[in-house]
Amino acid sequence: MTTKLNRPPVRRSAEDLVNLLWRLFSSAQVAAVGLGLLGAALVAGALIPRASVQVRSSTRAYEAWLDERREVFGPAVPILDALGLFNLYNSWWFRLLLCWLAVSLGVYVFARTERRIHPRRGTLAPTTRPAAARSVALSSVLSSHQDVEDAARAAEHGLRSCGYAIRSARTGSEGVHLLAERNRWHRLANVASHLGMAGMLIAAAVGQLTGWQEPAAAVAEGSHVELGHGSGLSVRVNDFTPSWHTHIDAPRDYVTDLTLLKDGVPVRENFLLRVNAPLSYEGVSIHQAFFGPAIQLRVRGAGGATLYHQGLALTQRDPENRPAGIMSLPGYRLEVLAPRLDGTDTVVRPGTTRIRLYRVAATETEGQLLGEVDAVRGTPVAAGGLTLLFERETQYSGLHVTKNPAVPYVWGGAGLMLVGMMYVFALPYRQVRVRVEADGVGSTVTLVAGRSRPMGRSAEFERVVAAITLDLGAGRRRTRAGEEKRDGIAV
Amino acid sequence: MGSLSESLARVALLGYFAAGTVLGLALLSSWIGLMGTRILAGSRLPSSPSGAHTLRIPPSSVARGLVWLGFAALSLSVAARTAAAGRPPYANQYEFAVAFAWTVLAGYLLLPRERVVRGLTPAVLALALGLLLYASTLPSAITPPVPALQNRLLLGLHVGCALVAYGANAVAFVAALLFLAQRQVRVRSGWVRVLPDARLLDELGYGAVMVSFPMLGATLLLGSWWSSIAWGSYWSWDPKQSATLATWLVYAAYLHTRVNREWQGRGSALLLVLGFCATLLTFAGNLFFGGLHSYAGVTDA
Repeated sequence: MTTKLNRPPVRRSAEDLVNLLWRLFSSAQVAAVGLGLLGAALVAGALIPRASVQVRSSTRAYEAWLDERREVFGPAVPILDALGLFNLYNSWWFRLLLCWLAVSLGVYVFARTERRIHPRRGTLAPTTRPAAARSVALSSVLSSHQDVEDAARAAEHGLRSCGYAIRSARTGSEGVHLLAERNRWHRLANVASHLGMAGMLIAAAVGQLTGWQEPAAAVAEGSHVELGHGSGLSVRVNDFTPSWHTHIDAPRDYVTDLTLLKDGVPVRENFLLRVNAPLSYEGVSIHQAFFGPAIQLRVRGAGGATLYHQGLALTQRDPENRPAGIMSLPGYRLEVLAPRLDGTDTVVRPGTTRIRLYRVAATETEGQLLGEVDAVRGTPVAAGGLTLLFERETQYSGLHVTKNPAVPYVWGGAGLMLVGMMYVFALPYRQVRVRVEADGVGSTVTLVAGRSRPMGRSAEFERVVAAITLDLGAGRRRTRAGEEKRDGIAV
Repeated sequence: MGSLSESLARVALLGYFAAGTVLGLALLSSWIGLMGTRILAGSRLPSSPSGAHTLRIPPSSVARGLVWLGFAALSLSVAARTAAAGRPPYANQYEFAVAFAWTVLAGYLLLPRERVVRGLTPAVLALALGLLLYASTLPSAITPPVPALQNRLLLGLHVGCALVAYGANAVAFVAALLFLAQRQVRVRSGWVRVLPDARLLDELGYGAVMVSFPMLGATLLLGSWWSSIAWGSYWSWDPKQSATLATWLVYAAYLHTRVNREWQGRGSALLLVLGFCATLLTFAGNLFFGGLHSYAGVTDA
C-alpha cells in the first residue's frame, strides 16, 4: 500500500515573478546570450537579402521575388520566409530582441544607480590579515621598523604617489585599515555607457514614430516639388550639374542649385547641394542622393492653354531598359520614354521621345490608350486633342528629405556611450586594501589587490608595492606565490 | 603632377612587394625558431614545478627584426599610396586589405615585449601575409573616390577606427587560438612547452578587446554620423552596418562572459574566435553585400 502525499501547490507571488524578471534582465549571463542571439540575427540580416517595401506591398510581386531567391536558397526559401528572415528588421522576434536589449540596459542602469545611492554596508571594510593575504591572487606583506602610525602614513603617501585616493581609513585595536582606489569613476562611466546606449535605442524608436522622410524625391531641372508632411516647404531645382572623371565611368561630383521655399516664399536661394553637404532648415534636412535623365515638356490643351510646362523626371525603366516617366493631367495620363542611355536604341531615336497618351476617367488609374507619338525635339505634335512639345533633354536631381526630431538625442546617447566606454577601457578601476599592525619590532603592512582585473594587474600592483616599500623603508615582501624577495633595504 | 603621382604609386607597389617578401622570410624564421624550441623543449629544457606549459620564450631577434623591416616597407607603401591618391588609402578593398595587414603588424609590434609570446609571431605573420596575398587578387589601380566618399576627415576617422579594431581583433583571435591549443594539447607533447601560459594568453586577448571594442563602437558611430550627412539617415540596416554591429555585439557578449567565472577561459576564447570570424565577414563582405558600401570596389572601374 502506498501513501500519496498531497503536496501544497507552489504559489509564486507577484513579487517572486518581479524578482525573477529582475534577475533575468540584470544577469550578465543572460545579457551575453541575448547579445549573441542579436549578433547572430544581424549576421543573418547581412547575408539574406531583404524584400523592399514595394515588393512586399504586392503579393504577386513578393511571390515572384521569392521565386528568384530559390536560385540561391533552394528549398529553404519557405522556411526563411516563415521565420521572417526576408524582412528581418521588421519581424516581431527581432523587435522583441531589441526591446529586451533596451529593457536589460535600463535594468542594469537602475540597479547600478540604486547601488551607488544605497551602498551595501561593510563593502569597504578592509579586514585582510597577513595569513589570509597569502591565498589572495595579488598580495604582499611588508615589514618596517616604523610604528603603526608612521607606517600607515607612509603607506598612504605611497598610494597617493601612485595616483590612488584613500577612500576609507579606519583605526582600530587591530591596527590601521586603508582602502585606496584609482579611477574610481570607472563604475559611473560604465553606467553612463549603458545609459547612453539605452538612450540611443529609445531616441531611435521615438524618431521612427515622430519623424518622416521622403527617400526618393526626384525633381527635374526647372521644376519644383512640395515636400508635404505639413511642413509648408517646397524645393525648386534651378540647375543640376554632374561632372565625370575622364578616364573612368564614374561621377566625380554632382551639384544641385536649389531654392527652398516656405509657404511659397524663398528661405534659401541658390543653395549648392552636394552629397556630403546637405541643406538643413527648421529640422528638415535635404540631401543629394541620386540623379538621372529628365525631359522638358510643354503640353497645351485643345484651346491652346498651357496645361503643363516643366521638367519630367524619368525615374523608371521600361522592360527594354529605357528611361521612363509618368505624369498625370486632368483626364489624361502620359507615359514618356527616352532612348536608352547606352546609345544602342534603334526604336526610340536620339533627339526624340515616345509619348503614350491615355484618357483617364475619375475612377480609373490605367485609362484607355488614345495614341502613341514620337516627339522630335522642338517640334510640336498633336495627340488625343493635346499638343505636345518636347523642348529639350535635361536631368533630374534625386533628393532625400528627412525630418527626425530625435536625432540630437541619438547623438547625445551615442556620445555618452562612447565617452563612458573609452573611460572604462582606458582607465580601469583599481583597488588596494592595506592593513597596518604592530608586530613587536615595528609594524607589518599587508597589501591586497581589491579586485581581480586581468590586464596589467601584476605590474600595477608591483608599482604600488614598490612605492610603499620605498616610503616605509621596508625589508622584505611576500608575493602571491609565497616567494620572498630581499629588497636590499635594512630590516 | 601626374608623373609624380605615378612614381608614388610605383613606390607604393614596390613597398607592398618588399613587405610581402620580408614578412615571408620573417614567417619562415619564426617557424624555424618555433620548431627549434619544440625540439629543445622536448629533449633538454627542464619543466617548471607548476607544469611545463608555463615556459615563455620571446621570439628570435632575427624574426622580430624582419617583422620591423617588413612593417617599415609596408608603412612606406601605405604612405606613398596616400600621397599618390591625395586621400587616406581606404577607398577600395585592395587599400583596405593592405591597411588591415599594416594594423595587424602595428598591433603586434606595439605589444609590450613581455606580452610577445612564442607562437604569437608566426600566427600574426601568417595572418598579415594572408591579407597581403588576398590584396594581390584585387585591382590595385588608384581610382578617385565616388562623391559619397569625398569626406577626407570622416573617411580617415571611420575607416581608421575600423582598422585599429580589426588589427586588435586579429591579435585577440591569435591569443584565443593559442589559448585553446594550450588547453587541447596534452602535457606530454613538446608543443605544450612551446605554447605560452594560458593565463597570459587570456590577458592578451582581453587587452586586445579593450582596444578593439571601443574602436569598433567608434567605427559604428562615425559611420552613422557620416551616413546621416551623406544620405540623410544615420542607420539604414545596410549589410555592412549590420555585420559591424553583429561583430561589436559578439565582443560585447565576450566582455559579459568575463564577469562570470564559469564562462571565463574556454568559453571566452571561443567567443573571441567567433568575433574574428564576424570581423572577417564584415571585412570581406564588400564582395557580396552590396548596399551602401558597394562602392568600396572589388572590380576594376
